[in-house]
Amino acid sequence: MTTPDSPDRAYDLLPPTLADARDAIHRAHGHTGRSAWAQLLTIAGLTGTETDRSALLRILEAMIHLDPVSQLCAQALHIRLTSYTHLAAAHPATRSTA
Amino acid sequence: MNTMTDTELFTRLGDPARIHRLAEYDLHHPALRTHLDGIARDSAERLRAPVSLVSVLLDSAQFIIGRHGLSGATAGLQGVPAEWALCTQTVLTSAPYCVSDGTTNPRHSGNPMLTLTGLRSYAGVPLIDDNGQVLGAHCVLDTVPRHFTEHDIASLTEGAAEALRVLGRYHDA
Repeated sequence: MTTPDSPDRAYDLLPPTLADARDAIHRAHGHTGRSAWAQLLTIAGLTGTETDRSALLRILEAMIHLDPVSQLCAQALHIRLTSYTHLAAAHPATRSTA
Repeated sequence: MNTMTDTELFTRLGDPARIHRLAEYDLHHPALRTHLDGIARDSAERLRAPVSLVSVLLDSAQFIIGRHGLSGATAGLQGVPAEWALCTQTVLTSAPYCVSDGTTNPRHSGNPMLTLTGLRSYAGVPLIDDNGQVLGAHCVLDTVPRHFTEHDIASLTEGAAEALRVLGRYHDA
């Protein structure tokens, strides 16, 4: 668990985005991250600049089927999305700017 | 005080070697889940704790793969964001980690996971596989403030060793 820098930023939670998915693929795949991301965009039919929720869901679906590492990244983003939707949004200590 | 940002946290947890190692396990296998549920149940009973988990830390979330005692709104919980998970600290330090009372602990007070579940105390030990990677943690959580003893940690460590033996059967490399 992270220790907050300050109490007011400790547990902010934003819904994951396509950019979060890109970051996850890049860090988890390491030096092959760029090519893996390009492959995922092609599979999902996206440009990579989309910001809507449907784009995220399409890339998550592609990640599930690409390879086991991408599948784990998708699992993590799914958990974050579910937490945001079902837990965080209901809790006053967790804020969103979305 | 730890001043790690979420980006720094995800970078540490998302280390390619660690994630690639995790990806070699069939973490969704129903038989694995059943066995790990049993290990969580045994640890909960031994430590007289209402909740016990076996989990792995993905790059940005805790993924629960064995559970005992989650009910109500948390019954179907697959995991929580990594920055909420107390097991994240256990994984980062690669050592047993205890929180006697999350409501008064400066690091954890205000943590939504504790607030929403009513859980207050935590003891966890790391799951370190034979490749040296810290995959996750085995833990117990209680609804009351609690001091965990060395005997408690030893018992959890036994559970973690069993969890790793079981996980090894679902490793495809």
